[in-house]
Amino acid sequence: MNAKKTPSPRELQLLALIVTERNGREIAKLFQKETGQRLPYGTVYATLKLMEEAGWVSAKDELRDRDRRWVRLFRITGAGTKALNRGREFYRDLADFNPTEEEPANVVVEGGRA
Amino acid sequence: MSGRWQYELALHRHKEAVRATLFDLKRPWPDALREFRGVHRAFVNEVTVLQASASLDLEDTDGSPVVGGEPRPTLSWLFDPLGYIRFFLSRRDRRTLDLVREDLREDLREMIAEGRTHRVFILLVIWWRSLREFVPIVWTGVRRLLPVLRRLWGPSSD
Repeated sequence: MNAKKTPSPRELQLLALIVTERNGREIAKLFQKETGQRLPYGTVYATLKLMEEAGWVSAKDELRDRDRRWVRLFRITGAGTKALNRGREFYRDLADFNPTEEEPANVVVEGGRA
Repeated sequence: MSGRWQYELALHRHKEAVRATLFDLKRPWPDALREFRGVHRAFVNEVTVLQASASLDLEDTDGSPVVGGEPRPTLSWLFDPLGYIRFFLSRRDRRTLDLVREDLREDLREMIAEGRTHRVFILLVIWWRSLREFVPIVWTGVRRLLPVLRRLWGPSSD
C-alpha cells in the first residue's frame, strides 16, 4: 500500500481510533460504540496490517497482566497522523464540493441528448 | 542456550532436511521418504524433550506447527473452527488469524459469563462468528493476489 495515498473512509475511522494505543478487540468495540456498526475482528486486523505495511501504524505484542494473554497493541505513527489529516481534508473538501449554482441551460452531450 | 533458541535451531534443521529429502526431485522417492521419516522423528523427540524440560513455552510463539503432522479435528477443534484453516495459511496470516481466534474466545467467555447466550446455542454462535471472521482474512489474501493475477492474465501491452 502506498504511504502517500489518501486513506479510505474505513482506514480513516480506524486511524482515528488508535491515536491512543489499543488492541484489536478494543478497537472493534469502540468502533461499534461510536458508529453502531459491528466490525469483524478479521477486518480490523487485516486493515491494520495493510496500514502497518504502509507505515501508518506501529504494532507491538505485549503480555497483558490481567489474564496473562499476549495481545497486539496498535498505535498511529507520524506518517499515519499525516495520512489522517490528509484524509480528513480530502473528505471535508468532498463534502464541501458544490457545483456552480447556475447550471448551464442546455448542455449538448456527445450523442445528441441534452 | 534458551529453549526458544534450541527450538528455532531444531526447526531450521528440520526445514533443511525437508528440502534435502522430500524436495530433492533427483532422489528416489522411497529413499527420500524413509530418510525424512527418521529426521522428522528426531525433530519431534527433540521438541518433546525441550517441552518436558519446561524450557520451551510454545504458547507465545507465532504458532508454527510444533511437531508437524496433520491437524486432527478433536472436540476442542469443534469449538474453534478457525483452527482448521490455520495450517493452510501463510505465517503472516496465521498470526492475524490467531489474534482473531483469541478475541473471539474472549467474546465467548464474556457472553457465557454475562448469560447473553444459552449454552445450547454456543456452538452455533461460535461457527457463525468464525465464518464471519474468516471472510475478511480470505479477502485480504485475494487482494494480495489480484495484482499477480492481473499481470498473468491481464491484457498484454503488445
